[in-house]
Amino acid sequence: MVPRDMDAASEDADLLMQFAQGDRQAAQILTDRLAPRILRFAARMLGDRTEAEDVTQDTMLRLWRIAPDWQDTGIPPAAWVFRVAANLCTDRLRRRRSGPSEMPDLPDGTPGADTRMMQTTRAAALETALAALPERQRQAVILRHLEGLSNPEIAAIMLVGTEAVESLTARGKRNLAALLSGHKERLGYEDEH
Amino acid sequence: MKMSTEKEHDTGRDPLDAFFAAARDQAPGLSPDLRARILTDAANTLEDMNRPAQPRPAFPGRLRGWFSGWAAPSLAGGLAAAAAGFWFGIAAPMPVSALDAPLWLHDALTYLDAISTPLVGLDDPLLLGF
Repeated sequence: MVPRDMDAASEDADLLMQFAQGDRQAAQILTDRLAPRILRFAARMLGDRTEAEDVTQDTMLRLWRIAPDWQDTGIPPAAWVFRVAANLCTDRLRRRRSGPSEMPDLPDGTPGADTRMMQTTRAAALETALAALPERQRQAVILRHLEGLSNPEIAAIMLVGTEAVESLTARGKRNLAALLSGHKERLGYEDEH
Repeated sequence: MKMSTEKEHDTGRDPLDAFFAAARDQAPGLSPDLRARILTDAANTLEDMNRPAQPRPAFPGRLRGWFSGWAAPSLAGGLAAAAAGFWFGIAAPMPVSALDAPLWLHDALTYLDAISTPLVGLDDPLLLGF
């Protein structure tokens, strides 16, 4: 159904137009391509699985509704859904009114634990540290280093220039490093170097 | 950066890479339930998009619709007003002299003076020396 030589953005746009013409299989493929990425992004932005699922469903619903007018949006579907999800996350974070102001307790990890345990502990530590970052830095770091998007893609999502993305990412990583540095022995950080 | 060391600079590795890799490895996946909800939304959206617009009823049906709604009372009111005007025109004609403007205007100004003088008072406030 989808030509293999099209790049991902064109494939997504093509699938969306097929959906607008009534193709339910296109909706399934788009869901499998986009929804897991939105869910991961929202879960890391919000730190709450249930809320992240709501954001994911809401974002995909908006994608279905805009499908008939898709050619007017001007950005790839993946960037569009990330932008919508980011806005929905921002709304929810504002409603909470107060975020974590200091580094919360990290999950316990003992030096010398097996690799799997260490991976789990490090992942949990990073999620916790991410939650302590300012929202825009968190967005940029997640999109760049966890979702693997390019700086121009992130710039299109966050509606800023690529220099601003670089700056946000760099500051976010500096803050993450500072937050995690006090726990490097527990997290086995020094084993990596 | 506080976590950087000479060795990190030598190897060129980002000290956070291990954390990012671990987080990518532990990322949450799409549950079957959420996937089903999303696809239900998609199906509902398609149904809404493909639902034909309500067909326009034929003229007799539209006429019935008008007379069962606001059109009948409005039309009846208009006809009644027209009939009343026609009746007044025939049954009680008024001479043109009755419409003489200066006469009724004079009466009206006299009446206005009669009711406004007690309200204003006899003395002009500007002449009272305040």
